[in-house]
Amino acid sequence: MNLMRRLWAVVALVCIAVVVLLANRLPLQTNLLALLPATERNPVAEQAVARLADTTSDQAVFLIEHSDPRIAKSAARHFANRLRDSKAFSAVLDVFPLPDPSTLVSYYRPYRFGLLAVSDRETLETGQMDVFQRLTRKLYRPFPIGPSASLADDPFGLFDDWLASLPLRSTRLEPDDGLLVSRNGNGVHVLVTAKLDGSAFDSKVQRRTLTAVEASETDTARRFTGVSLLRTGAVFYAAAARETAEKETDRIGLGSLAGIGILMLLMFRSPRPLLLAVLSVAVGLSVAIATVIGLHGELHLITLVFGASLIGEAVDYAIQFFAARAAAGPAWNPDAGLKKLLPGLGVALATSALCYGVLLLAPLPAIRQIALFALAGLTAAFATVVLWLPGMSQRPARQAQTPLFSMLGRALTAFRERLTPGLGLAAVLILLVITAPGWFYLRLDDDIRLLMHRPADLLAQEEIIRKSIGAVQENQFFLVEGKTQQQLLENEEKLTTRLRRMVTKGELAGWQAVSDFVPSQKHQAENLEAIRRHVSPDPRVTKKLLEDNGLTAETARKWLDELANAQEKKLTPDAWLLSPLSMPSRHLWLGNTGHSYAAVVAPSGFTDTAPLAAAMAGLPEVTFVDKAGSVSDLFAGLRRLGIGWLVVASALVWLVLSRRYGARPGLVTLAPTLVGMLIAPPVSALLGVPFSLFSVMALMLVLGIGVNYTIFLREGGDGNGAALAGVLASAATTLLSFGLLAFSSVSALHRFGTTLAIGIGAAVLLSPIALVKKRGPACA
Amino acid sequence: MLTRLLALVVLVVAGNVRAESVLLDSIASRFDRQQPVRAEFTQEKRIAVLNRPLQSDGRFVYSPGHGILWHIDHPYRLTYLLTDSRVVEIGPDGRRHTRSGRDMPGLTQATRVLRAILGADVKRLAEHFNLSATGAPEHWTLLLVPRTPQLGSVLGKLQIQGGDYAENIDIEETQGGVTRIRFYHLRNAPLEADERALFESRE
Repeated sequence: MNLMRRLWAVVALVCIAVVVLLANRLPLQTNLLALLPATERNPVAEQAVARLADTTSDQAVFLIEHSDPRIAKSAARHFANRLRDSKAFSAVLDVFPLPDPSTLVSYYRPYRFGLLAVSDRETLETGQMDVFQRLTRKLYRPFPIGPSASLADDPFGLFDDWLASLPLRSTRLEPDDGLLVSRNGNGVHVLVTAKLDGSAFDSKVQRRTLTAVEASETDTARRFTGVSLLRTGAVFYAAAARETAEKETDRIGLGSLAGIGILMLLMFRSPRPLLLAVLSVAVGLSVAIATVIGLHGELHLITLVFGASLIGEAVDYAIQFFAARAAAGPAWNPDAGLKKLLPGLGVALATSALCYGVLLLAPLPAIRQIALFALAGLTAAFATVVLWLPGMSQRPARQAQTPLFSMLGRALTAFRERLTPGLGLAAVLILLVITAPGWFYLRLDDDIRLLMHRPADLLAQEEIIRKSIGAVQENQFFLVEGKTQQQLLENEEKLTTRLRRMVTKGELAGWQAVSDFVPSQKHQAENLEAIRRHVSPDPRVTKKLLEDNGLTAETARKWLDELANAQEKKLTPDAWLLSPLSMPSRHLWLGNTGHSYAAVVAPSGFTDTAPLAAAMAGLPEVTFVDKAGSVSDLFAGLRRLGIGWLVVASALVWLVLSRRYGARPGLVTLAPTLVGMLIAPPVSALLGVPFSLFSVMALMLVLGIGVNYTIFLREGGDGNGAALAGVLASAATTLLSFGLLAFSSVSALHRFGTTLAIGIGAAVLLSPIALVKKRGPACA
Repeated sequence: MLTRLLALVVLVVAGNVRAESVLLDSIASRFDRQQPVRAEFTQEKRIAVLNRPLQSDGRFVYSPGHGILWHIDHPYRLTYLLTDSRVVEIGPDGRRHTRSGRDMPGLTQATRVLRAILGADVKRLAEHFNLSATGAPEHWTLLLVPRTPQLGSVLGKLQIQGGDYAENIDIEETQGGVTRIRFYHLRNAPLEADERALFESRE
């Protein structure tokens, strides 16, 4: 035993040392994606999601707004300069290299005979193109609008039409004085983007960025009155999540400790129990933190917040120990006391460990980490109580029979006298019936946003910025693959043909695809053929047409010669990727992924994803990737599966109880908890909390934790006021902790805490019913 | 409209900055900018690849708040409708060819510049061009040089000549050559029903 005590001391000290050393630099993970498992069957799709997330996650986007365009632009430039001066960013972009129309025209000019707008191609192939009218329009057009080729290069305006059809602008932003600007009714928004000098999820980067941004904003707002500055970007959400998590952890931790302090002082009237209880909790938490960091290398924010709420549960073992000590009065013998206590504590730990152990099997890293934390923490607290506390509490309790205990003892005895099985059953049934209407209010919600912390003001700014820019949705897109680059482009073209139909039906606003800028060679060849056959089937006729309408003979001849030799010149993706023109779309091209060539086609302006999924029918190399949807599906699936696990776990817990108490008494002991599990969902629903995977998780814990109180009560002995006080205190601390958790701003934790508090509360209230004595026919 | 340009020229020549805005305002009040402006025009294009100058004539209507209608009557019937959000070309058979501002970056800006030129929005012109004037009030020449290379790659230098009102606009084509537009009978006149319908149609 002594060896174990010493060993435990070593373990505990090591863990405490680790935590103290890391105190201000805990490796906290603020990236949501780290919590999620791979949901896509196609590994390339996961790659694409990660890649797209990477391109956007280290960007910060700012919008500077003012009703006077000139002030807005000057303020934007000033703000950008301040950001640059702060050196917190690797790049700040306010001035955008405008896609110079002449650069665009000159880049594509050699390939122009293979480039046709879709409408022109259709008009050509249905024989409806009036070549003469096209020439006339080009000749007499009073002024050019946008990028256009010269008369000599493009007498029929076909190249102009293709240039005009390029999705150069996927946003509502337009160039104005070199800045990117969006015009709204009451003023002008100017865009400034900045690239972070590091990962958005690194706390140092977050601090540096926020300081720089706040300083620049204050300075700009002071110089330019009436200007408003908006911001969005992963870094702001991550920083806010970190700050909130730290605040909530503090609140829950301090609240729990305060509650424990008050309760224990009230109960035991002496500081020693409190101090030793806090020791056991401290060791428990240190071991938990050290274990998670040791195995995972980092601690996620959600685990941290949950960990704080574990305090109320971890302290239960110590409270039970001291309640037993108080109950024993002057006859207290630590070793004997422990021996008597151990089975009960052991069963309590076993049931909790069982339920957390089930959670450890969940395919969600988030849940697994929480389960690991809890298992380690509770086991460590248990070990501390069992190994050290007896040695440190040799003397009996000074004030054994406080008035409180006597009162409680009397109440308990009286209660047991009056309690009949029938009464107990009636109480249960009444509760079930009262809460039954809640089941009709049950709402399901498996959204991925459950795990996210989304503060209202950041969301509002993001919404305004999105509306202003008209930005593309990033996490729902098509992944297109092909064995070769050309096959990839051809597959894209098959997809975009269908997307075009959706646009005319109004199901989609548009899309971005590499194949719009670099058509497949097959497509280019077909376009060339169409132009030759329908525009200039007979070169002599065409020459006459051009000359009759004013072009010089030489100009006409040059054009016809170029058309005749056009097949040598074809656009290729490799060449295009090297050109600066490809910069806005480069992120779509994934290139060689090891399995295939892949690229992303990014649709925008849709509300319903069903037609998009339908667009893929018959195109095996196209996958619609909807990470958020996949995760929601995963959550929903786990929720359904979890209910099955609840049944299994309940059976297992009953088995454990049966070993100690026998089959039927075991069931009676389990009953209050089962009722608690049945009441929690409808009551939560009445409180407006939707049912989700995290509700099921909470019910699992109601099972594992709620049963502890019935066990403690049972173990406490008849008429034992101290035991009852101990149970009430334990329950109170647990309810306090999880109740505080219910105030978290992370949906998952809020729902978790609410369901847990209701379930455990009900189990505690009903646990005295488990004390019912069997009434035989002999008793009246 | 072009009388305002005249006013600007006079005041640039006179060099009196404060009086400029006062005078501009008083002249502006004489010429009603809230009402549509219409005129007849002839346009002549001379470019290197053409073996003869291209000539066309027609009518134009500028309606504040709507945009510009440019009707070519000879030698072919073509109509161009320019608004902030789209450019529509209407052929002689009524077939429309629309380009929306959403698809083309710079379309809105280019349209605004054109509207500024044709509608004499001096403030906006000064944003996009460097203005310089020569001559006398009776016969002046105003030179507009694009400020940005982007604008410069679409429109070359413009030269506007006039007396009581602007008579000639010469646009230097970026690909070599000159377009010369001459205006006649500039006047305020309300929109016709079909013109209003064109502006307000949602196509």
